[in-house]
Amino acid sequence: MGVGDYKGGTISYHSIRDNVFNISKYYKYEDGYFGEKAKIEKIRHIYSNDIESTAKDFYDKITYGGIESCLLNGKGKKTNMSDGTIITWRNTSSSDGTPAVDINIKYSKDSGGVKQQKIHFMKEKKDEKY
Amino acid sequence: MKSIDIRFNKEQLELLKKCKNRKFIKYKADPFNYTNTVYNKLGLFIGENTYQLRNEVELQDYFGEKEDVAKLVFEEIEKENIVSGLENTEQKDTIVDAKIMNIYLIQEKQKLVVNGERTYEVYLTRAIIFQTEDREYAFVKDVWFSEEIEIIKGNDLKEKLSTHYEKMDNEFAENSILYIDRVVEKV
Repeated sequence: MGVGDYKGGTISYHSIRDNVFNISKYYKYEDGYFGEKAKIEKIRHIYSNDIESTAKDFYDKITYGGIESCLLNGKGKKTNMSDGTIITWRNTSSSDGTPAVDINIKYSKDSGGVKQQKIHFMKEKKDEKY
Repeated sequence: MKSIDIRFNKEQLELLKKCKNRKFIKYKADPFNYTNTVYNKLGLFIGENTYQLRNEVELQDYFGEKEDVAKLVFEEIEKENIVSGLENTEQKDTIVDAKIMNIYLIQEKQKLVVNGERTYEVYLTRAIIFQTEDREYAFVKDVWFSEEIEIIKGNDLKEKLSTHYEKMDNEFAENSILYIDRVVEKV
């Protein structure tokens, strides 16, 4: 692989472990999970006023140095990391219309502590005004 | 208690039955990229017919949450319509050239128990195994949210894929246990 073949133009193929430290500076990360727990532990929520931008930013940071492909019909993108982790970003999920990022570590040799999870990007709840 | 069944339906089982004793010519799928998985779909050329195996998400009740859950679908398709699920990706042929002796399904049952009460039972098709004269070819559905399909070639795959028992504590609710069990079904 040449320079520029890895996402973000890195010179080496990154694992998810390579990116965890950096992304944890920007997004809540605890016990291998990002964001807040939904009803089920493996389903997470990250709140933002601009969910599309936040989803893209999260996806770009966690897939930095990976090999990216585009899903057909503009549905989203997926990236393979060097450890075997597969990360998928969907523009719109059927469940609630929000963007979502899946982190699949099933084939990973070393996920750096990151756990299998699906992250929905949700609108921040507005403060009530009195 | 809620029961959800996303196994192959009758039509898909009938299509699979027709494949028995016919020649498995080849399958067409994305090239592997570090993992032995392909995204979303692949084509199977069996006898004079072509089929597509898709692993695609659809809205489902996932243990109380409305979620995109992946489901295996087996269908007949025109060969011109076999394309990658990824843009700018040329699928490649893997020649099999062997008679299909038997077809097996790995059927999975998931049972969620909360505070001692059974709340959900989910039935899904985890894999198809084509047994030819000299080896087996398995196409395996990935984790619940993923549209990847794992491809495994070898022997004793029925045993390897069905010897799977899992128990997850407190991941779906407090005081919950999810039991996962698999059985082999001959088509």
